[in-house]
Amino acid sequence: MKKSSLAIASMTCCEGCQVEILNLGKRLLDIFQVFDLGNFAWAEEKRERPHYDIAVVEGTPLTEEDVKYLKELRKKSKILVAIGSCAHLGGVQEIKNYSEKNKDEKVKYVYPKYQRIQNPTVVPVWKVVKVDYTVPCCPIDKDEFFRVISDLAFGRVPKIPLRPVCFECQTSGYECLLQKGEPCLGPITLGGCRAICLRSKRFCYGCRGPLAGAGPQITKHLKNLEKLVGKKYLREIMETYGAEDDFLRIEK
Amino acid sequence: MKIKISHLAKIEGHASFFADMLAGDIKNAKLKITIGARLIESIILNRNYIETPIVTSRICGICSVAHNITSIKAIESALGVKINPQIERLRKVLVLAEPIQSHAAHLFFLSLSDFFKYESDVDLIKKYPDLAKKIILIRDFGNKIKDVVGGRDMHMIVTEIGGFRRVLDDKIIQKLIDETEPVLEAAIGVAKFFRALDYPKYERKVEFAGLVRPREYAFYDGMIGSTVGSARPVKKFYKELVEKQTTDDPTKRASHLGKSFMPGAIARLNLSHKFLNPEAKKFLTFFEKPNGKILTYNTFHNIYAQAVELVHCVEEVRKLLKEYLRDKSRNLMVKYTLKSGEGLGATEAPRGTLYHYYEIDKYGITRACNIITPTAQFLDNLENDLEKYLNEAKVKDERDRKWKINMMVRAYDPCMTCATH
Repeated sequence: MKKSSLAIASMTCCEGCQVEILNLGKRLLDIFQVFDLGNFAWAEEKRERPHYDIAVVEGTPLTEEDVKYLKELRKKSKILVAIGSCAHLGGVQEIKNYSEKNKDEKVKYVYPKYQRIQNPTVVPVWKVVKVDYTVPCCPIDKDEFFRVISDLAFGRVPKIPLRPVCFECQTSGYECLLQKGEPCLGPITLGGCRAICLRSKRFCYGCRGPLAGAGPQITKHLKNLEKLVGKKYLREIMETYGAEDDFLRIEK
Repeated sequence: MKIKISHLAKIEGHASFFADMLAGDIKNAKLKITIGARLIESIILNRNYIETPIVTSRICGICSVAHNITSIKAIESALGVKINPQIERLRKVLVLAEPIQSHAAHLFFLSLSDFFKYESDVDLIKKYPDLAKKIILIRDFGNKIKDVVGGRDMHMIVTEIGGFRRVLDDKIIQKLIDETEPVLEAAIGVAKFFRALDYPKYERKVEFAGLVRPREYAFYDGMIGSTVGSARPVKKFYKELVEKQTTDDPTKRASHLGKSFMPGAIARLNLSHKFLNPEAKKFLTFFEKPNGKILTYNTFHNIYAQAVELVHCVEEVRKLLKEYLRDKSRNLMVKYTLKSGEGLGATEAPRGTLYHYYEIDKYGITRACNIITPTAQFLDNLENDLEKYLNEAKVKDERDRKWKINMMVRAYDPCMTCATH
């Protein structure tokens, strides 16, 4: 049987999602067995292919090179999978979009001489090309990624159950931080992360994005949180992983 | 004639190599980094300080602990927060987990194939299955420490300004201690393998700099030691650094008193080898003068230094966790009150000293930030080394030159993602 070809490509980001793929350890070898691997910068000298069955993309298309390569990759790939909060929501770098009061103020702070720095609005992958599947989270949960890539390898449609973070938080018996008065986004955020932040007593920042179809709950929950911590801080929380526009869009 | 290698593979992030060749001599060796500017230093401004270490952690997926902890330390310094010895022990364990994971990956997946010329990793795994198994065991252990102590194998969740958000059961810590035994054995095996490798002959007298502390192979804190001049407070050394955007890529390179210098595993080993743990110390016989003040000026030995550190770090983690259990205090969060201030923090990331600086106002809003990463510090030094090495070494052909360039770049283990942030 001819192996499916796989690309694991990286746009501008921390590259942590690729590291999580490397962290699969022995299971990474299984991926090597099933797929013919092109362009996985970590494991091989770069070998670009004319065609991919599956292209996995992390990061935000920030530079002209990023955008150009992303479009090229889309054209030559059957399935494109966006992984991680950057590709899905914009990631931490999207804070720029929300917080810039004067044009180029952020870039001028870091680069006083401001020489040839590309400084576009930060966008997730789906705003540039069509995305077929998304593996959310910052960073991705490697088990969830492995499930999705295995499903695709065997021609199944990968699905992430439409449940909020609270579901796994409660079934794991973690302490509810909302009840303690903390501004947790758990009730309106897509679960599947095993409520990993709640396990460590940190409230949910919504890095997996809004729970689809939960419009009315989102409106209500955000209103309650606003009463709790005020508009400014609530926005900062939602902006941390670039999810604010995504929450507000679904709310409408 | 122009020489160009676009997309250097097997490094963290994207970069290309450029140089001019005049009458057989390499001139103007330059690395151009092709990663977008995420502007981390300015996007955290005018926001609550609590989220600052969460965001700065995302500068890099390989050294997220170093960014997170350095950020926390700098903020604590600004707010005047004093942590207790138990918090420091667990933080040190986390900081050490990073070179364990990062060095292991770099040694095997990124650097080793250079010694056997252009073999893919799949071939490497087939050729050295035992070594591969050891590497995976060591990496998994580094990640496990981060998962158990920090809440996840990347981008820490439990760490916080003032300490840790939760306290672990002692049994879990004891289990980690038990697991160090086979990992240490594996690390010793890996170090033996790297001791037997044939490193290119090369030397250049450069300044090595990194954290030093009395009777300690410093990673977590200390003064900045240097092979030029005496050790000085972090703040003094930080002020001697000048950051400049010298190329048209989005990196700001740092020079020390106007010169290029070298942080990282080789610098730490040169500065602190007296304080290595016993098993790691045995590997110093590799050097001509194992008790000398400076062990080596050969940049390629940065790879070997990482292998020695792998052994040291596993020993150190075991020691620290045992100390943690012996101390009966389990108070892992200190109380503090908000006040305005400025703070600087420095930690040894796998690739060298990492600096974070912040100003925070009395409402807890971050008002100023500066971050200097190890790769931003050594890029100039790497280019200087590339020029000297390529001019001295016998280059057979184009392919051989490309191999030599790649090998030198990878010996530095650069992290372009960090360099850009």
